[in-house]
Amino acid sequence: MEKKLHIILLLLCQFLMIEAATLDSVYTDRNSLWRYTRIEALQNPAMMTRAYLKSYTELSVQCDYRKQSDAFCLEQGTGFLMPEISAHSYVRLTPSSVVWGEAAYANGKCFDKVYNNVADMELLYPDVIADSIGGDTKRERYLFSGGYAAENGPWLIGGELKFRAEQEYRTYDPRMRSIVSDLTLKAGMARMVGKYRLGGHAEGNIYRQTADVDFYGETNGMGELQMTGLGTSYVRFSGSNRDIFYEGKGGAIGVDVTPDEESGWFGHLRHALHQYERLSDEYNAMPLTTLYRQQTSITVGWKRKTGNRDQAYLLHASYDKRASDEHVVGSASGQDYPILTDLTMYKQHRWDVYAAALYGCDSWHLLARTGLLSHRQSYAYEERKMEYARLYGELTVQWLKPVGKDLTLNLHAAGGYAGNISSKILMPYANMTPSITDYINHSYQYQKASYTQAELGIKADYQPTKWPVGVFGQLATRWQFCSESEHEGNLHLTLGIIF
Amino acid sequence: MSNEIQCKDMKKILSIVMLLMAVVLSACHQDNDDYMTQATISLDGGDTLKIEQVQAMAHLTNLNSRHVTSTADFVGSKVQIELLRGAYQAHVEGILSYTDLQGKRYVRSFRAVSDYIELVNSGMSEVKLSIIFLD
Repeated sequence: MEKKLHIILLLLCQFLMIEAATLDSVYTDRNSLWRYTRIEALQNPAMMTRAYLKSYTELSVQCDYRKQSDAFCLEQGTGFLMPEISAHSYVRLTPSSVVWGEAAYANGKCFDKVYNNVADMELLYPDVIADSIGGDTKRERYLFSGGYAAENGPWLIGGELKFRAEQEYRTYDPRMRSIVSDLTLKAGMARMVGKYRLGGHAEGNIYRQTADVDFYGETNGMGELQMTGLGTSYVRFSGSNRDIFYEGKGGAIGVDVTPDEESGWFGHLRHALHQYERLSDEYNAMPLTTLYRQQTSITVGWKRKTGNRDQAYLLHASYDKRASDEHVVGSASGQDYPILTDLTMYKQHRWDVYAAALYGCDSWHLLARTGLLSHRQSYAYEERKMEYARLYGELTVQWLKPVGKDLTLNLHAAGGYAGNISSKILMPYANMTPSITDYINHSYQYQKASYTQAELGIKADYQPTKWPVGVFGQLATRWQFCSESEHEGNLHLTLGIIF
Repeated sequence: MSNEIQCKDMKKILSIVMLLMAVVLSACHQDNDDYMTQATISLDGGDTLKIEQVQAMAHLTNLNSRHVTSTADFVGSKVQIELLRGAYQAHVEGILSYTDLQGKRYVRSFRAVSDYIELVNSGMSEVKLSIIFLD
């Protein structure tokens, strides 16, 4: 009898040890810097079948705050305050199928945006409606996404749907209001070939934004500029034409090779094409400009995980091209304006090439990254150019370890420097208004600057074995110092539960 | 046997990927970099007179950008200028000499204006402007 009891206790101990090890590996799987080597592969929804070791659901409240002493980019303003509640879930339905989803709501404000009166400026630049007054804006965002992936023999398939609705508005002149709907559908498949998963995915996107600017003050009836890049505007339809909308569509394909285990070669290639047409509401949906965006990225690397040590090395190159066609509009016939021709007046070429090395040992991870960023913009006539290139290096250290029985700490610190190595500006200053000259000079001042970055963060997860849920909190701060004697401060706070 | 199947599957996958790549790459936007047109502005005095010489300033205002291009390089009744392709307003004002049907020579002030002309052809574009005398 005593012998049997010993055997049962021994088995129970073994089981508990395995369970404890599993919990640790689950936590590491979700929080470790090692995920950096898997992020791109997970763009393919088919690969999500093995995205996490265990199901989880996370509910959190978070807040992001950013303040710049002077706007590094006038169109994006001097910062934002963005509280958000969100829920993430990843559930294994059967050993071979998973579903995942996310829902989030954010309601905050952006500070002091100038020369930009639309939402999603990062997508639509330079084809925005703008003025030199600007101001703070309020912003509200709803995000929903969900997906399903399954394995059948050597095959993996998956699909994902993402929907974002957003509005950004100002309650004083100039009263801008932008309403965005953005839908992305993704489908992917992969196949086990030896020790590797070879996959491909395709995605389609439909985008729409309505944007209008109103002035309620009797003396504030100033005009809005239909910007076309580097301080130029579509003068003929600027002024009182303040109601526009954007219609966008696009797609992307990607190819992935990734080792089934955590060791081996990996590679990702992604090519995306999107276009955003700006139409005037007041001129019978007349197209003013169309922005064509082409993004291509490639990553190749090698990684190895053995016991408590891991290492990865990768090379990455990405190219982002924007080409904005101005539609040359003819004389109106009734309500219709014929398009005489299209001219690609604005172009932007952005290259980012870097090498990264990741090394992990026990509780520590170290990520080093160095690269070159080149950004060139040009406007055809009258000729305008603005260019800069930066050489950068970053170092991130992470320490992730259980402290005691119920608490796990995740600390990270990062530092980096991006130094300007070349810059060039060419502007027809004699033909530019003083306000546009100030705008351009301000943009160039911060584009040709060098930046020093420092980041510090702590995350604590507390999950006593008796609790059905775990709680976690995260606090992080990031600072950026510009060579123009200005700085940026960021604060991130998250509180949540996980089960 | 299973290696053979894997090899066939691989070929299929690669074919699909290559096909998709070809479709996506061929869908890339072609930039329209043919910006300029060689515009010829001709002054039209009608059938009753023959313009011999013009001393005038031609101002062409791009309707989209409001950029104004000016020239006074008249050869006979024509002036040639390189312009951004687009829709323009034209304003020509000055003095010209002409002969009438009887061969008698006159020198008079004139103006030729148009609120809308299309100079959009790749290569050469030509428009005629009717003149009115100011005296």
